Amino acid sequence: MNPGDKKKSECEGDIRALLKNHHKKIYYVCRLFADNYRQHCGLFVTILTAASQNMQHSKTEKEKYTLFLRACINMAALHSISNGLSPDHEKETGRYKSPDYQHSMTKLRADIRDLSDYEKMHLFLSAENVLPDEIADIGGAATAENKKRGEKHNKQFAPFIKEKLIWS
Amino acid sequence: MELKKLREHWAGFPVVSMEERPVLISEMENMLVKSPFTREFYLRNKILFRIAASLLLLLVVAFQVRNETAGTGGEPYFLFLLAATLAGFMGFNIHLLFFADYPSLASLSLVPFLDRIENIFQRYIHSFKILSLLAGFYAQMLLECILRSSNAGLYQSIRENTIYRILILAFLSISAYILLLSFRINKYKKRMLAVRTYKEGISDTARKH
Repeated sequence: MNPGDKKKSECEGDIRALLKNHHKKIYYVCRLFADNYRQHCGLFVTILTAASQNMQHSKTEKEKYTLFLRACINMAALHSISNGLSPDHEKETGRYKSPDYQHSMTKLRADIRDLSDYEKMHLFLSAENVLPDEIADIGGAATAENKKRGEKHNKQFAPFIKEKLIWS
Repeated sequence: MELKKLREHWAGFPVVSMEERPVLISEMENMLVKSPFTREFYLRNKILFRIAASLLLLLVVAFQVRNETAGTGGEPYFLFLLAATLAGFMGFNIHLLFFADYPSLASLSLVPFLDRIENIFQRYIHSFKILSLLAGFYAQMLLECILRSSNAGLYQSIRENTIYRILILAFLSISAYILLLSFRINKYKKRMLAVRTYKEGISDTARKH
């Protein structure tokens, strides 16, 4: 076997192992964002595909995990957008095969009915014990903008105190 | 919803049985090659088709230019304009393909990811302007072909008058754009607006938090 092929198969093995360890997290995203069984299946496959492709070129375990979470969030967002675009998605009623699972899903859906997608994402990342800084990294400019605004505010505050200290 | 309640939900969920598992981990090999994007958001194949088609048409135009210069000795400026438009269209689509960078698109953070998708749609919508100009060129060629066989005098007078040709081209291009606007562009505009609205919603909620 070529050293290149060996490296490639090792990388694929790593991705497979990582996805095997974290595949339950994909189910969590699906539970939060999919309305029925058919959507659950579709979203699971797209997240798994995006995650495996994202992780192909990353080296460290931490980087791979961040890319995995990004794939989960991004694909969930796209899923929500396409749901909003298709007019008849509300009519779809793909029930889960297990009645217990269906019951749990119905209960969860009722509880998260009023949550916005951002809140669902935040909830999912918090449940996965992702640090606030990392949440900002996964969320991108929106949360990074908040962070920057906070820093700017602090920077403006410091000269003000300095001025007060000098004059008083 | 609180985090504690969500954790309770997760704990209360029945263990996912095999029947609820849509994909087995052994099917992963296929996933490394498949695109994760749905047809609505995946324009790669369409862009590739456009590049291939414009390359083919460019070759045909080059052949026509060679024939025309060899046959009449005149300057086929109309064909040069068409070739320039085709080259521009091809360049625009190649640039769009590199800009979209589909294999690494999903690895971006959420807001830049949505931003990129919105930009891809925006550029794709802009490309329809060049496409309608091309449609105008080809419609004019068709019109001239029809006139040549039916009314040779009219064909000659149009061919000799550059202003007429430009006016006809402008009219046909605008008509093609109006047609594309109602049959094709609206679909992509709707998707772009949906992505933009969603992105703004996410940014607004993040700002409030």
